[in-house]
Amino acid sequence: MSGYRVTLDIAKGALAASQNNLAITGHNVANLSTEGYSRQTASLAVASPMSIGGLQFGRGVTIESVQRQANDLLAERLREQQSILAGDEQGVLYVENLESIFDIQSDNELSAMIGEFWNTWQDLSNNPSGTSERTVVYQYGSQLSERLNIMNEDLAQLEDHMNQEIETGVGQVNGILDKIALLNVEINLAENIGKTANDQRDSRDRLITDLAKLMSINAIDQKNGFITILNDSGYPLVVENQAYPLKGEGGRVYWQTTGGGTIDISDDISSGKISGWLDIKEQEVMKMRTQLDTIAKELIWQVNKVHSQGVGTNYISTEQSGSYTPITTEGGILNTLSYGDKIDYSKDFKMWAKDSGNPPATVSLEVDMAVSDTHLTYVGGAAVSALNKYYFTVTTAGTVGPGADNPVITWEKADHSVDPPGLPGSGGTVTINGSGAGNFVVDGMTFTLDAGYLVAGNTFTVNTDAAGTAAPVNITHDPLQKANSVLDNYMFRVISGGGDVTGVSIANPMVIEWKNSRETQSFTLTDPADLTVDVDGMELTFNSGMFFNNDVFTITTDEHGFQIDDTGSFSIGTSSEWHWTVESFKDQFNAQSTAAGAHVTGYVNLDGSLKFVPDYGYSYAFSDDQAEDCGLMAALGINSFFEGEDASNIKVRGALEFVDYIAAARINGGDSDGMKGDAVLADPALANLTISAANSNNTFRFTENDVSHTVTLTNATYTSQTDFHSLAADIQTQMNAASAVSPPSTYKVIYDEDANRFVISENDGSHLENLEIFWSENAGTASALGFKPLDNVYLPPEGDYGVSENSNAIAISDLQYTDFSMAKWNFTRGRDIYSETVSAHIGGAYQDMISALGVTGSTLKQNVEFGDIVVEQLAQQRDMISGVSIDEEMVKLISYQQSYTAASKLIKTVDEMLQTLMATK
Amino acid sequence: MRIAFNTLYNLSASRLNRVKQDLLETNTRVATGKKVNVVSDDPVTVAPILNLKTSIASVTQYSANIASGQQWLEGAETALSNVKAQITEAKTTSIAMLNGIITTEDYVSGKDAIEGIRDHILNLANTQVNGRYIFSGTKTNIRSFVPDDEDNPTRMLYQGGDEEFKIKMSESSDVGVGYCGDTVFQTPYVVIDETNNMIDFREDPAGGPGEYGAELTAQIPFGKYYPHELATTLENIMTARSAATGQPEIMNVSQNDATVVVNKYDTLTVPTGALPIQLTYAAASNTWAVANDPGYTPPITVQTLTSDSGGVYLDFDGDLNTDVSVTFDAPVADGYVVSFDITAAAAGGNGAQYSVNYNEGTKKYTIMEQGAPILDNLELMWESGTHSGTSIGSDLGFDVSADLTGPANGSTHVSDEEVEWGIFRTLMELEGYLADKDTEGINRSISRLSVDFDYIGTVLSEVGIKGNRLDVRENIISDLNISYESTKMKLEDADMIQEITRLNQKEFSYNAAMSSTAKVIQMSLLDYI
Repeated sequence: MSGYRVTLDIAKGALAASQNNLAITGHNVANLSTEGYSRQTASLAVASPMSIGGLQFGRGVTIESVQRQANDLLAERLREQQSILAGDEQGVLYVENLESIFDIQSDNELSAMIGEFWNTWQDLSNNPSGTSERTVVYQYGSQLSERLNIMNEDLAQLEDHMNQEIETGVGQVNGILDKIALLNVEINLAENIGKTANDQRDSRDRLITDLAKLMSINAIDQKNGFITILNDSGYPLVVENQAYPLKGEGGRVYWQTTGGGTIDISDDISSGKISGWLDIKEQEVMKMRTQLDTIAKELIWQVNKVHSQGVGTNYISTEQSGSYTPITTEGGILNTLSYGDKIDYSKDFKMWAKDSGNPPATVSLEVDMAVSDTHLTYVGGAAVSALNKYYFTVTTAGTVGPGADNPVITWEKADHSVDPPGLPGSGGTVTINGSGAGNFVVDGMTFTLDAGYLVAGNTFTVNTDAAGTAAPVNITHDPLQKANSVLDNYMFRVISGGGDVTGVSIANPMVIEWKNSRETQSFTLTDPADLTVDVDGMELTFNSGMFFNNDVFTITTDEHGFQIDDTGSFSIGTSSEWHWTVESFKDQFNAQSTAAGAHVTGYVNLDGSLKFVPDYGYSYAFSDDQAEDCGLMAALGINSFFEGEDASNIKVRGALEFVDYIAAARINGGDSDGMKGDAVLADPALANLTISAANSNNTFRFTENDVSHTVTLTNATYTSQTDFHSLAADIQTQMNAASAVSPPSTYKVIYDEDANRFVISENDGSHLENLEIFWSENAGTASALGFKPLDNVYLPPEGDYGVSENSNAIAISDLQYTDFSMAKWNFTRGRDIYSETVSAHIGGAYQDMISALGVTGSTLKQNVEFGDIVVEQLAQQRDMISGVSIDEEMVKLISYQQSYTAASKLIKTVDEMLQTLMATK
Repeated sequence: MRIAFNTLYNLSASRLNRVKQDLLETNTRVATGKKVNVVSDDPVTVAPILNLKTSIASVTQYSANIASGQQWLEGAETALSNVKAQITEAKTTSIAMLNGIITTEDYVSGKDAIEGIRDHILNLANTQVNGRYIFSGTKTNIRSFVPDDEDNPTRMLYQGGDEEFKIKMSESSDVGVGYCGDTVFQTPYVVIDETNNMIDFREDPAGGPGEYGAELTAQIPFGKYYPHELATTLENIMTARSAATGQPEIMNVSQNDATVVVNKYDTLTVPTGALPIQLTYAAASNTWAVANDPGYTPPITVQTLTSDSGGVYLDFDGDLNTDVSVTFDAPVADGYVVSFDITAAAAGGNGAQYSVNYNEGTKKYTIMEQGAPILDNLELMWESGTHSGTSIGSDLGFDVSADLTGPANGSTHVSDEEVEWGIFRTLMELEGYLADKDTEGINRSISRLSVDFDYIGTVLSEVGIKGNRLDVRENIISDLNISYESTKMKLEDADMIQEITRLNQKEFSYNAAMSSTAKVIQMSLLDYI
């Protein structure tokens, strides 16, 4: 009885199973080409048997579950590789973009253009008076500058574009995160009821793969069907039903905290498209932009330095303003010029001026650009004016110590208790006479000066605090810490909160902005107990000092990144040490120009740049082939070739459109720049030098313009090399007294500290024609002064030069193969940006940069090639498990059809059997 | 292992893609002919390739510079060879003028000929190349030499600059291709021979006015002197002469390698105007024969003491002690003759210290007394001196038509004109001598012309050497050019045969891949069900 029913049941079960199997097969076949689809199989089970009369009878088949064939571990591996590949592919794409900017096969290839630039100077040297050669130099210089401008712009645009890509990518990431959260909920709901949400899981997997292709993530399976997505550094992106969207801004990726803050996670993204973009942007594009800037900066400086020492077809008869401006507070400290840190203060500035007579009369004037290293200490006393800035400038050079050459310091003060601060005024002068460290008193304050030589034109400032006490700035640094940027100049400026640095607080913070060749940043001082800051790798401590708003100090780094100042010693250049400003140079220049009768006046423009204006009928030119030029004119941008500081603003100076100003020649400096001591000068610290008649070393004879004179030096004893300045002054005074040439101060005698010798030459504006000193007749004097006992002749130069004079043009073309120390930048994502010093010539530095790009490019291409293969292999493995095979499904189709037919046959048979039973009466 | 449906299609698609990629790359290389098209193709060779391109451009530039320089040097060479030819002609004409049977008309035509030669040399000195004066230093727009007066020139003034014009011929060397005329057409040294080696002067010691002593004569040793050397020598001989007190002097030694020294002065008093003593060496007997015994008072006979080929020792007063010794640099040969004069015990000077200065700026000599002054006045006897015909005066720039008298403090005894030694001065003086029919002067001019000829010859050979250097450099450059180009080609250019073969290969593989893919993707079980 029950047998029939059981059999019908079994048949019914079999039919259902076949129909369901067919449905699953149909589903698989339909999704043959669906991306990321995992094939489903039914898992059949035997239905639970029933016992009839002690016998177990099977009850057929049931479908236990529909299973998804997927290997999650394999999927994860595949996803990782796809993420890496996606990143590398984007890398290759953008590297190709960069390669087209630096196209090596085009005519605009930069190193060829740079080479051609040097060649135009050589053409000019073959025919210095030729207008067409000059025009070519100007045009080609302009073309080169434009090319650099365009390259820089292209790189900037690329950087912007990549920033946008990153932001768009972050938007896409956020969209995916939302969808994953939704799917999490669906899967959780479905699986709670006990079903396996196969298709939703597939969808979710697809989304996670898309997400991984954008940025690297960790996906962790939770129970309940949830999946948690974290980023590489552990911040949650999706947890259960909550998505935590990221923020993309300024080319960086931020994770948003619940408090509304943001955490920069860009450096933790290690693969994926966003990582690819970040890699290229930060390690290639930004690096190349900075490196190109460094190369342009070096090109500008080196060409300008040589060009500013030369002269065009004629002296300059119009006014010329410099193209570089310093920070204008405190008189325009020279170190704040773009190239101010490259001025060599051990050398000088020389100018030639001539009138319009026929033949023209020329005069020369030379400004000693040294920086005095005498230390000035504030001893005590309250100033008359509180909250004022006191300016001290040396107006007459001299030695602090014994000797008749007393220096004179002029001082002024500016009221900084009002805003805007008052102009400098109401000052006075102080003469430093006396032996030993000279005390001088100004407005109630007492200062001490160490023994040493004060150079005319040096200046320094001291601020007074609210109580009137002078508070010179005292900043120290840790000498062992290296700055991240070598061969650079850091300029610090107080933006707000000026005052006593030990009196800062949270309510009254001092904000200081700093700028170097690459970036501008700032820091704030709020805690008087902790005045040590880390600036780009350097450690600075603000010990004491009064700062007013807009006060400036600078730090220059050497080729290792150690911090040095003007004199090359390891310290920081504050304005409370001797230094030069544009104003002090202008004043010193004007004083010497008037004395020499040069008829050229210096002015400081409103923007802080220097301007030279000749009187009507006068013209001027700079340096000559014997003078040692300090680079001041190049740093100020006067008589220079290029203007600008980096690849974005390099340009040929507009005034050179008048191509006669292109300086192919150098003024003829004669045979020497003065009579220089050629024998060893003994150090008086070891054995005092006494000049007296008894020692037969106090007289010598000279002829000037063929007329003989004798000089007798003052009896004195000199005990240190610093005293030699006084001896030089004495020699100068006595020679001028003996001289009969007018103007009365014909001679200039200086003691060159660095070379340890005396130099006898003509003073500014003198009309000396020839000088011969007969050291052979006075051997004692000669050896005391460091000269060989041979007669020595000095012929002052006349400041003329021929039309085919080409030494400056040759000097500029020589720069092509000269090696310079330059910074080479290291940009690694996730680490500080720093530079190292390399020595290369300009073309070579550029070629290195291009090679580095090439290495990155070829590495990326290889990575993509390899990555492709790996992804392919893993995809193949995945498909082995999860992919649908048509043949398999077709066979299954046929087999299910047969089992359906078999099951229907069973029903028919049972039916027939029942019919047979019914038919018996 | 299961092959999923997708696997087949994906794999085929990606393989086809790879082959196509290869094909594309090979095609690019064939089309551009270069192996390295973008930086990442071969980053290591990119830098050398770029470097080579720049080097090639540089080297081409140096070539252009050298071509420009060679023009200058060729101009100089032609001019200077012509100058030499002209000097030879002048010499020939002058020698002809020394012939005894020359007439006044001959002198006049001789003078005209020399004037013509001088003009010709002036034109050569003002040679221009491409509109630039090549002998003006860097002042190439200014004529090198102009006469001080168009109609009656007395000197040629150099107007050019004092720096050479240079071109850059390699990374680190410049070479001067232009010249400064004053170093070429003015000889920097003077040759002292018997025509210009004397200076006569008189001293007026401090105290009363005008108490001049006797005429003092100083003799400059023969040789080649640069201006400062000449100044030093003059200084020394004048000081020595002033100090020398009344001692007889040996003059006019006829052989350069003989040194004649007076050992005992007090035995010698000799009448002036005597003939020179002549000594002849006979190798056979190893003795010396004395001729022209000057007749000393008291009358003595000169004997030679033990003498040989290395030296001869004379005894005048018979006391068998050497009075005068003559030594030689090297043993002399048979028949060697040397002669010399012994002058009267000359009057002594006042022992003044002289200083002679040559001022490079003004190009003038100053003769003066140095140290504590002991003289009131000094008289340089250019005109009235005994040796005014062979004095150094005109070579020092003094006007030798009159004596020069004045205080010895350096204010008066200064050259009247700038010192100039060279072809122009020689020719102008020669014209003067021809006009005056001064045979002594003409003789002097002939030896000057030889000196000038030699000097111009030296400069000419220097021009030749520089030209050579440029030629050598030019050759090196063309070799370098070829070597750079070939290295660049090796690094950069694609091997066309290889690439085209590869192209064919890839094409073939691509076709094969496409054909097999087409077959495979068409097969499906569905066809059979």
